[in-house]
Amino acid sequence: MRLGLSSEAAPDAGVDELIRAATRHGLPALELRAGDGHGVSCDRAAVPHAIADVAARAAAAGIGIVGYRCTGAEDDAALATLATALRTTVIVDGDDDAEARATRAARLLAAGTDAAVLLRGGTVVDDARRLSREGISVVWEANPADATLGGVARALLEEFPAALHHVSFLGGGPETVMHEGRGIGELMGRLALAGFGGTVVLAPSSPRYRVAWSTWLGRHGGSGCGSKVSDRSLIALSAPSAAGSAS
Amino acid sequence: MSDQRTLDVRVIPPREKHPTIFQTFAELKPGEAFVLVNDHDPMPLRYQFEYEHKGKFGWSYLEQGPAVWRVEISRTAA
Amino acid sequence: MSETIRLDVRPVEPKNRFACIMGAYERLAGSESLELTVDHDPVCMYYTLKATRGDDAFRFDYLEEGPETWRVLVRKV
Repeated sequence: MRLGLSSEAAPDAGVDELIRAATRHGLPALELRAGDGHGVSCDRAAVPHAIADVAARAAAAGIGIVGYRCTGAEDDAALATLATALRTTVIVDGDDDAEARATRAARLLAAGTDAAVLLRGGTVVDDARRLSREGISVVWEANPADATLGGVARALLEEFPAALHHVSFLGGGPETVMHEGRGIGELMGRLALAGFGGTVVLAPSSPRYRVAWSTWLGRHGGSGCGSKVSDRSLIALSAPSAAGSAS
Repeated sequence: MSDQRTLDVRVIPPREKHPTIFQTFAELKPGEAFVLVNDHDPMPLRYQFEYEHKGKFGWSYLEQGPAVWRVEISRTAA
Repeated sequence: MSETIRLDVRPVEPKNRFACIMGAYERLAGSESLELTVDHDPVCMYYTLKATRGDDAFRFDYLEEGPETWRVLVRKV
């Protein structure tokens, strides 16, 4: 099991900045979301070597690209080219329901493109059961706000562990202290005991935490002010106002 | 499914970290292990293991920073 | 009259807390106490002090024991 970083945590960052941020925090994987600022897109995939170069730079840094998350607006053939060049899986997301996404994923798979379906919400286990019967992998978007993390993890890992491509976790990073009692300990414990060999990709749970993520990733004022490594330790989302007199 | 058991505690809220670690250890059978992943040296945890599970655990550093520490924690064979 | 240094490590990132607390403990003068506020039971700090300073080198008294907040008074003996 490894942790990874979603481009959603730094939606205006280029790929090299994402690679640096992931490396800095020991997160050896990236999930790229279509529409973020990394420049990896279906349009760009038409430029020879452009995308393969990205894959090579990530690999050189020891970062795996665990998936490319599409929005539903992309063309199948373009996605296939992109996924092949990145050597990654297309994660089928969109405004539609799980059924529609499954149809899309099946189409991509039939054409030889590696694909998985993003599942979220209360029907994740039922949806995953259906998809695993069809031989389609799933990406589980684990949201602490749902407060069902432990239960869903248990069901997915016990019933169809092979179908779980990776977990997209809405939290971690600067949000770690916030989600007390939401079952994150249980989630990570179950993943560990099940020997889950996939990735847990970290992303913000809400756009309102973008600044906190940006800071955590070291994207603000990285140089100057005398510190070799900026001390971000005092920035926390739910920090009480009283700080100690000793440092 | 017998992949390596990895418990990455970096995303776990502070109050749940140690209970999760000890709960995971409790589920190990003798001879089994898991790899603890953290963003700093978990030495205070080791002291807690020394007092609460003296002689019954193994502790082996696989990686020691600068970004990530990985420790293989095992339940010693009976 | 002993002085109490108050250290609330809740805003401090977990990976920096240990150094923060041990640093404050080291700097305690004989008459000073360290009142530590944490969001979980700091029993691992207790074990660390026991192991590195010796059983009789310090006092570790709970002022508050959760469920949200723990406060401990630490003194050098």
